[in-house]
Amino acid sequence: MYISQISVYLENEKGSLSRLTSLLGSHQMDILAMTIADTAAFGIARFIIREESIDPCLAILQQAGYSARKNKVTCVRVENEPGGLNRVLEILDRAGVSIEYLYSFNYTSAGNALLILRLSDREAGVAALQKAKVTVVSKEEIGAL
Amino acid sequence: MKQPKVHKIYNPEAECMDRETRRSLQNKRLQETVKLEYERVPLYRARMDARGVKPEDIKTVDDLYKLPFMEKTDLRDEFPFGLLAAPKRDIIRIQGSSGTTGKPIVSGYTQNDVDVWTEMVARAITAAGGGPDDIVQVCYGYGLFTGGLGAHQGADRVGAMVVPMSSGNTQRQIMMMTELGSTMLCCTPSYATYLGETVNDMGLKDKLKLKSGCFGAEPWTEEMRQKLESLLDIDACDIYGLTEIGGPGVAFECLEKHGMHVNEDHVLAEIIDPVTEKPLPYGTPGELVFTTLTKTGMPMLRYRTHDICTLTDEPCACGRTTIRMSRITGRTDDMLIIRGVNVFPSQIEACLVDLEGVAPFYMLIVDRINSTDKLEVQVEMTEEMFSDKIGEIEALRSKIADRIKSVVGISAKVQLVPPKSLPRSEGKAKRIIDNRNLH
Ligand SMILES: [Zn+2]
Repeated sequence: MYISQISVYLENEKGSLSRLTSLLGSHQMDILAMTIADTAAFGIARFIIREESIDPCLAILQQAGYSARKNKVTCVRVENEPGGLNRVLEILDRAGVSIEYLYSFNYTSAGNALLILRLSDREAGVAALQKAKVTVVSKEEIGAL
Repeated sequence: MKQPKVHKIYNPEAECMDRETRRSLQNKRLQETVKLEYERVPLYRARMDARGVKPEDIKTVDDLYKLPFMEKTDLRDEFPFGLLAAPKRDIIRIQGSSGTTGKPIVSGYTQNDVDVWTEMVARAITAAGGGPDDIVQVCYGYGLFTGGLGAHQGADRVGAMVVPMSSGNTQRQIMMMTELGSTMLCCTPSYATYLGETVNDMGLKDKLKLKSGCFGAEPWTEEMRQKLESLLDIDACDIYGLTEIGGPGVAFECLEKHGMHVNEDHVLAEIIDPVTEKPLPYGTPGELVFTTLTKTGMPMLRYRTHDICTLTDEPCACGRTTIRMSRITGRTDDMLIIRGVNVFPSQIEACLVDLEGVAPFYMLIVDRINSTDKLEVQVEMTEEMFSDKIGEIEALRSKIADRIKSVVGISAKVQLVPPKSLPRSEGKAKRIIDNRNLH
């Protein structure tokens, strides 16, 4: 089980992020979650949109001259209470799966937080989480947000 | 269909001669050529006199460095017959190249020169597997340009059936190729690729009998070779030459396909530093310089090609004992000197091909900061190179920097920039911005 994420290469200069978001906005792309990672030289914007918008969005980005990619990431529902996140991390740790990066949705689902995880081994991670009864969210559920 | 790798050699006596014997032959022929040039060509005689060099001073190949150079401009200035070392009545052929502006350059051939040239191409065609059983389709242009007639004469010499198609008219080329069952192709690598793509589009690949080809007259890359070989299912061998030195066949690849054997009994190849003009050792890239050893119509001494390559005397598995030259990787006109090191854009390019299967667009920016030269290499990020993980992008960046350091020998700052963000210029891509104000 996975959801799709788009990542985009950004130059580390003023306004490069707002140029990206205004491009997406002008095409009515509804960004459900977004994170920026940056170094001194460049940045990477990663974001989630509904599955049916993924391919059109990639086309728009390529048209506008961006390097962009689609990746499969894992989305889990975490109870909004102390220790909720920690439990997920422990399960993955025990399964020997590491987290490349992690961020969260702007939305909550029935009072619970939605986390996006990029795992070193997605299939093993998802299996471990499901076995431990952590809710792994499908792309169809994201589409219904 | 590709042939089994069997090395055929046209003239084993000359091509596999032991190196010492060849060296004394070269010494003798060099002396004769210098003497001929000094006696018959006023321009060169004046140049030798100005250097205080007499023909007697050149006894062996080791004395070569004493001789003055010749340049393409000499052929223009002395156009058409000023550099002839033979009486006009002994000249039986003119070949040349148009050049892009002004007067063309031409070279005059005696019967001997045409024979030598033909022999050199015959060696190349044999090395690519050609012989009396082959049908050789020549689709280089016929005319002043040496490609068509050169390949024709060579194929004729090995006893092959020659199909003199000349260039162009792709449909007709393919029709003849399939109907006659041509087994070898002689043309430019780019035209061969185009033929290959067209054949595949037409669904006629099964009808081909091609096994190999000699492709030259323009620089090409290993990637182009892979593509061409798979498009036509052939062995694609490189062939090098220039009209001034005799035409195609001066050097050629055998089926080992790792460097072109130089026909050393007919030409001497040197590599020099294009700035200091000092000879460079084997393995170091620099400017290729040729001296003809057997030409009598228009001999050339230390002719500067302005092509960049390397030479090697490592033995080749085919059994030939001649030295080999690498592909031409650039022109001296594009050379940069950074912190005293000669840098060719083609070397940087070589570091970039193969990055995740793509050759990205790049640009070199040279600055002088606190009296130290800084090289920045800007590389356009391609879809294939991009990753959503910072670590992978950083790793790619340092991989490029490491390669440049090991190939070019200097540290460069590598910047990955978005696609299509570097300026494109019309025609020849402008890859260099030099901000140093050295003039
Ligand atoms: Zn060989």
